[in-house]
Amino acid sequence: MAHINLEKDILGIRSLAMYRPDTGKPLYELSQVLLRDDSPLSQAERELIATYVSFLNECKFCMSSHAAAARYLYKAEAQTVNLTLEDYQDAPISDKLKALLTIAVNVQKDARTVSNENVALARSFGATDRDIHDTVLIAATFCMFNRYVDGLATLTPMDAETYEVMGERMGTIGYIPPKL
Amino acid sequence: MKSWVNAWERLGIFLQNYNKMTHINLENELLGIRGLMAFRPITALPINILAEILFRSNEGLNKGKKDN
Repeated sequence: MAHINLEKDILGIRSLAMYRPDTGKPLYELSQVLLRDDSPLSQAERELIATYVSFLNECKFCMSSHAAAARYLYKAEAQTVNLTLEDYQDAPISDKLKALLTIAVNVQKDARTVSNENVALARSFGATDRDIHDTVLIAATFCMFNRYVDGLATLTPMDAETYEVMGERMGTIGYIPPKL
Repeated sequence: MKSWVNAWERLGIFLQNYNKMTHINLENELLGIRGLMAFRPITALPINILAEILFRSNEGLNKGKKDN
């Protein structure tokens, strides 16, 4: 049961965007810009950062839906997502992405712990200012989304199939606010 | 001056004294979140719209309650 009166049977953030479309619209636009627009990071890599931060925040809805989107975007390498969640340092991802995930982990824990060393390591693997900026903003944004979704106890499906369908939609049409 | 903008500016000044070097080259001298917004206007836009709606709307909590 959600803490406030939301549209019945509508899941997660979608129910909140329907409850308050004026705030839902910029939130969806921010997701679209961060996760789909041009970036030195691939869409799959950015979904993976969003998934990892949501996993650390234990937000089941955001973690499962963005993991599904990342799996869809990684295509044949879909197992990358689970391997990253198990141990990102040992996952089949680039050293640059590992260093960026360390920055994201620190943003989630306490953003003041992002150190010059964390940033220097990412740069040593080719990360640019844009990579670092986008990583920090994705991590910070998902900390907000995770708290928004869980703070109002929105409807969170438990079955993998629902998330698989959601992931394909996120991977193809992207982030478009729900029609009322 | 809007009080939440003031709060951001105060935070920016605090952070500047706390850590003189930003982690990335923002190519501007603006404080705190304003520097980030000037660096990347495309992400600043929805964030500003959200802040505007949350702090300026007439519905729900009144402005004083949210700013304080």
